Amino acid sequence: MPSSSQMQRWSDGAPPAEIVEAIPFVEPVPEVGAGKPVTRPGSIAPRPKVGPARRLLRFIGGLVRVVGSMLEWLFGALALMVAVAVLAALPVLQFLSLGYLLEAGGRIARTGRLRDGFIGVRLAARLGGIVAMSWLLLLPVRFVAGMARAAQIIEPDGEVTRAWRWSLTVLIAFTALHIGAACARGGRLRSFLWPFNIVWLLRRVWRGGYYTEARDAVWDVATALRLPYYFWLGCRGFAAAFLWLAIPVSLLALGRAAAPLGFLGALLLAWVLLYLPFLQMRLARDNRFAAAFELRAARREYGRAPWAFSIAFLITLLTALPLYLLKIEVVPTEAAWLPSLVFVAFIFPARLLTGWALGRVQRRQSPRHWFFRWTGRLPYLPAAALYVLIVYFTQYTSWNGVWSLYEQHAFLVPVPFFGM
Amino acid sequence: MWWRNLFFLGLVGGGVTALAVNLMPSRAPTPVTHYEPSAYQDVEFRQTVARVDASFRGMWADQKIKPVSAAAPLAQARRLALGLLGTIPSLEEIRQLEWLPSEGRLPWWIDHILQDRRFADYLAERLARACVGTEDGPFLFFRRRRMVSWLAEQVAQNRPYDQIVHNLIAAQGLWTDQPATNFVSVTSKPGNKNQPDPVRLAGRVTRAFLGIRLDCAECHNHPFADWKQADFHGLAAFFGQTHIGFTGVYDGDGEFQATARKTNEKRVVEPRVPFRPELLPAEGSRRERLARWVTDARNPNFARATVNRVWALVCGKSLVEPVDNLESDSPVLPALPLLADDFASHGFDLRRLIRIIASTEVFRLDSAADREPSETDEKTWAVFPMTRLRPEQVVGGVIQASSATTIDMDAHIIDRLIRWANTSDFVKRYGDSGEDEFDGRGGTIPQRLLLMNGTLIRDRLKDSPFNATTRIAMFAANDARAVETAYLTVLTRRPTFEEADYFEKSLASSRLGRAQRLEDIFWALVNTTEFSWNH
Repeated sequence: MPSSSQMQRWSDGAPPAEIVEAIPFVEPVPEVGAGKPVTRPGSIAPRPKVGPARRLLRFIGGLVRVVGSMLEWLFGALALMVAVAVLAALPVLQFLSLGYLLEAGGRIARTGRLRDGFIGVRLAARLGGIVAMSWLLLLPVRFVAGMARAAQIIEPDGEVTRAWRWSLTVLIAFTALHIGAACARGGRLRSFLWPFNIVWLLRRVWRGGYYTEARDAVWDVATALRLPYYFWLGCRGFAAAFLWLAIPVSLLALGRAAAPLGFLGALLLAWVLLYLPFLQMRLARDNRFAAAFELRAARREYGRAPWAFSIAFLITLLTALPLYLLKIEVVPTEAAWLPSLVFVAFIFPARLLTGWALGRVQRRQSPRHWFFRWTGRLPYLPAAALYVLIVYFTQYTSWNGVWSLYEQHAFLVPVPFFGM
Repeated sequence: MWWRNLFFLGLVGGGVTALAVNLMPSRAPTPVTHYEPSAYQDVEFRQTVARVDASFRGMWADQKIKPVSAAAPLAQARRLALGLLGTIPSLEEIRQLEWLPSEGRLPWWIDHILQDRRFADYLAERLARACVGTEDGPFLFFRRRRMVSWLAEQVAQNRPYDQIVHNLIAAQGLWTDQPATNFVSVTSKPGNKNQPDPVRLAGRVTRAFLGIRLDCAECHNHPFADWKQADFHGLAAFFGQTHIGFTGVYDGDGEFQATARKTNEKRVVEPRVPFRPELLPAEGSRRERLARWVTDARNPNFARATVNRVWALVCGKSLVEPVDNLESDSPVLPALPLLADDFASHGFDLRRLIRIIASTEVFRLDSAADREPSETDEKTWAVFPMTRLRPEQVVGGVIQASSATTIDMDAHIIDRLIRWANTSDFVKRYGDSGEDEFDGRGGTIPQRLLLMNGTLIRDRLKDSPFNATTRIAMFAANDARAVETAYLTVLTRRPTFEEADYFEKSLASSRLGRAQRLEDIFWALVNTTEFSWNH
């Protein structure tokens, strides 16, 4: 492709012949009435006229691509939520979930664009597709495994048992190779549905150099996930929020034994709640632990986008409250990701909105008019007071009782119970 | 670069290994759990077992009774599974059991059960029924599932039983983060400002932990025992300062006031225990003092009541009947104080107690005799008692009988959820026996019809690749093996010669498919009296 400087050089005349040769799509354009081919400098030759049938086909093709892209994005978003929910239900790995939620809000806070909060949706679509198709492909294997196990129990030395065992071995090997080959070809849906992936894989291996290519591709995908970064961000976000919450929540918990302590704890918690969503998001935005403790800076930022802060604050509390219903009863460990999915679905928008509110701050250098600042404060105290009141009484209904006060899912890991 | 290779090879190798390990069945039915022989070789353990055996032999000799012979090992295994897991052994477990040398089978089986999480859950439910019954309790103030979950944790950790009971009686706090307080909060009534009921609590403590029906003396002096009304009110007074407030269950001020029936006069009652007052400590809150008195190793009733209840769980029938009344007309067998002394002197270890009971000669006796067992035979345990299974045991047996593999905590979550849903529905329809679950009750026609025509039976026995009937039809080498496997799966025994001959001929009939014929055999076996009884 010619460089822009080259394009400018021949703006007054035809491009040199060697450039014309190098550009395969530059076709001679006949001058009107001249019958001679003319090539315009620096331009692509006009496309030949396309019939209506081909136009229609191209339109349909384009529409299919757009719809396919949208469906892929939606599937990726769903896969991402499920992945975050599953991680949230696992001890220690929970910090990855928190890190992702914080980073989503942090990116919006940096760029001001809501769409930047949906990180890695396309990659999640690809990986989610691999997981979903692998699970589907393993269903018949699991059925055969169940039959083989039953055969082993019913007739340990039988011919039929041996036959089922061999069939299972072959099926496991074939399915593993097929899944591996499908992943090696890109992990798309069509790769999983194509039955001859193994042939492709064998031919590719035969050609040589495939091990290095596969190893590096897997490594690139793994590093693209940025797991250490999200984990560290999650750890810091958890630590910062816990440091803010520990004393007020502890005093609130002691309120059962001494009412004045509980009252003090409630006041402190309400005060902490006014700032905590934004302090935690500042940590994610600036990638600095200390940013979560810069109260004055947070107050100044409020002045520059007061209504945005209020909306984000209200949504954060509103989306957190219904989730206390899921803390009443505990579910089996294997199904723990299901309530976590609800938690993530509720908390993710709150995180995005908090990031959006911080992103609004970038648009102004000076505080807004006092009218906006003062009206923005109006819902803060009532919302915080109501939230603290409801949270206090959840210890009478939540499975873990008073310990559930520490499981502040709006600011810590998005899961009903820690260490499920 | 080496880390890239390590990561890639680890990912691929790990994936293939995980597939192989999780999906390939093992070639031999080797047991996956192990038992600790030292628990059974302990000198004091064997001495206690020997003393218990000797006490029964002494009784038989006095009564000039010849006990029946020992039951088959599989019958003993079935008793333990029903008593401690609420289900029958699976075919998979039977294969593992028979793979072991004969002398190690029963100890392995006992420990296999004790290590199974289902044992903790099942025993917790049984203990909860004794403590708080089966009622739902007051809304918000009582969390039954929370309490059962806590009890299951305690049993799984093998916490000494005296400490568990101490918690139940004396715990303070909320019924959510202090689940033991549900023992108190279950008695709260909206009509009584949601305050606990000392009278009900006293009744529960005496029945569940002391094996005496002291609540019979609530309104008047006990008609057949030495208990006076004052004894009952004195015990209830220990709960006179127990309240429910913002902090949950707590001990504050107040006194228990008893109301005279005839004059309606209220009088304050001081707390006092009905016997062994020297064991009551002087320090502590009233509930604390009561808890320590109840669980004192020198309090004979606590250990005996517990032994009687655990014996009932394992054997289907208590040593002294009813299970919560050690002072009934039933004679107290010498084995009871022997077991109680061992239980109290070894830290109230429930697992040890279960091991001892299962190791006794009496437990291993057959329920079938070559003569008609007399009343004396039954009272002296010269023949193992036959008892009707409880609803949850019936449904557990049906569900397990429809699967060749064990439905335990390692089973798929969906299988376990289906089992839970089926169990709840079946128990509701079959009729839950509530807290009186050891009272012998006759069967009812609806129960029979449920086993004959119920949805659960139909779904679990129908021709389906997921059910045992179809799988046995597919994999059994011949009709004889199919019949034998069906008997092992449903009745935990092999067929007799006559039974095998009859059903093999039935299978040989060509009118119906093999799976359908096996479905009929399964249906017949599930509806036998043998299936619905513990023997």
